[in-house]
Amino acid sequence: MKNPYVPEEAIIEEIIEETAVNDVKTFRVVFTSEETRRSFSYRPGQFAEVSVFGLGEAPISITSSPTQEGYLEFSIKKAGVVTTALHHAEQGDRIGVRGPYGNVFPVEDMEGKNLVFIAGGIGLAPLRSLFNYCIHQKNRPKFQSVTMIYGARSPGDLVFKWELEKWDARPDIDQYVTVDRGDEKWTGRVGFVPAVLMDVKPSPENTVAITCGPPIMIKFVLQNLEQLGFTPEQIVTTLEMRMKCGIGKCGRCNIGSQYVCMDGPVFTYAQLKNMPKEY
Amino acid sequence: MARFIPEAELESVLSRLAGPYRLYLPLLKGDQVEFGPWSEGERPVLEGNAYGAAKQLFFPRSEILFSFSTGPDGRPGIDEVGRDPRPLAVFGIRPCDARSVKLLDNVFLRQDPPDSIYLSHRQGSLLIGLACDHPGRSCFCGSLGGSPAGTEGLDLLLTAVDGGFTVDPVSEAGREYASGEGWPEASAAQVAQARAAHGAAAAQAAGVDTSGLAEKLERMFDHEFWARLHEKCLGCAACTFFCPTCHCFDVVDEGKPGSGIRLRNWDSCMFPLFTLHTSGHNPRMSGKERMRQRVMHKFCYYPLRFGPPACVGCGRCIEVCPVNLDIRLVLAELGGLA
Repeated sequence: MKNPYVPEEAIIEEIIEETAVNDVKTFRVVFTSEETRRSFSYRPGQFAEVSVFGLGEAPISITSSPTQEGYLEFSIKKAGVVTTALHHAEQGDRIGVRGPYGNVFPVEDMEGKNLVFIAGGIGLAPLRSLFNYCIHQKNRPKFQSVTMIYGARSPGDLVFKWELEKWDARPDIDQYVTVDRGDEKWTGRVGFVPAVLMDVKPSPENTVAITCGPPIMIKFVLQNLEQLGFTPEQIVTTLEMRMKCGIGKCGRCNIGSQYVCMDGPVFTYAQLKNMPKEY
Repeated sequence: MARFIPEAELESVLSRLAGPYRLYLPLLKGDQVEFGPWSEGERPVLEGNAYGAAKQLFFPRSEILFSFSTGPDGRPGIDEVGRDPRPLAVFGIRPCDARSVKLLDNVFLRQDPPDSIYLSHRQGSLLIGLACDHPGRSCFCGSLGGSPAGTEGLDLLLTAVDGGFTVDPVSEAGREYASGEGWPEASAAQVAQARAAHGAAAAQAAGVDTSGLAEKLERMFDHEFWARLHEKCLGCAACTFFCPTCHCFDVVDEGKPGSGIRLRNWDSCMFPLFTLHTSGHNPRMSGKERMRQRVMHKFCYYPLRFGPPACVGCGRCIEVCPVNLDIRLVLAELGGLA
């Protein structure tokens, strides 16, 4: 039987520096083995355990979309031992990747509906997989309007700026980018994400809201969505949790009887309301 | 059909087991009884329960998941750890510990993907249990659906009687092993003596009524009880390390960048770092949340997911707790709360 803890070797093909203070980088990685490149099949919402041999591994959401074939992307904030080591990695370095783990965004249930994405800071990373999946030419016709509300603390903290420009240019996407505080060069919107959500006022009619961001943002986004008439079933989020094994064994990511690594990380707000408040 | 092993034959029975199996049994180590590998002439301790639970034979406190190195071309190489291919036999395991192994199976083998490393210890294992004739002062297996002569998880159950042991085959593997050994049939008197011992012991191991507890606890997450319960707890986690059903672990690398081993080590939900995010956020901030997690996981969350409670009533957590936090009293109090 295969040892589920052994990662596959992957090579860092490209590193994109995302933020002004360079605390978030996007890594494009490719499995060395062609067999793994073929067999590693994932869907938006899933994550992988990324290894730096000798230092450990960390659960990271897969930010690329399955529509981007041949490689995976991870956007990683420099925070702990493993992520700091990854920030010191260079193009051509080899890392370990195992997965994909976790459940997926309910894409089929979203078909025929309006989609409202609400993200804060690095919280855009897990949503970006689903977003790029939905706006891909072959999938875009399956959905009604697509809205992106994205904010960060400052212009320098916005991630995927190179892609936000592309999304902004598309007539079939309504995009609202905001910052908590601007700077002398910033000519865009200033304001907190939950407040911008109230300005945009998406109709709950036939709509799904998908949100991820810092806990304080999520708290007010959920309140505001309910005020706008969204039911808890119409709100989807993805949780961050301390994890080790990723495969429902080590017990670390338990919330009540749920394992975030297996039953999540994607949960509807309706599900979260029935779970202990321990996330 | 119950069989009989005369006391004088025990040594040769163990000796035969030790060939095809990696044989472990309770041995006296210092002043504690601990499971250890059998060697010629070693006498198992057949009174009382082992200090550490038998789970460590299937889920060692520290275990290598794989080793890694970096080749001259910079590519990582991975090596699996070589293990003794013989299956494990545990002689003298108590019914509570045998039940706990079944509970661990749910987590390590029944949730996909199965844990190949746990399976390497579990596959083909032979659990030869010994019925308890004198349950300890902290034993309460009867409160949790078990019994001092319970057979769940066992392949064979031995009961000490005059001049030796009666043997009750439990599983197919146990029946097969017993018939291969050719032990004689137990006499009616021996069987009667074993049954009487089972009955007497069962009466001593009951105690707390835990029926309907999982459903009740589901509604008690916000109860003020938890704020009181944790007050004297030191957070030492001894309860979880001695618990035969606790299975939380950490995964760490040892060595230097690029070459070393990846290990799993027992960990505990009683430690503040267990759930600490790298961002500094901690979903279980204080002892209150951590104590609640331990009790809830055993008596509510695990049963919701898998059915039975994740406690077999072995009483080890009661014995080792430095502040005498007695889970039986906790359960009794929970049962009495509205």
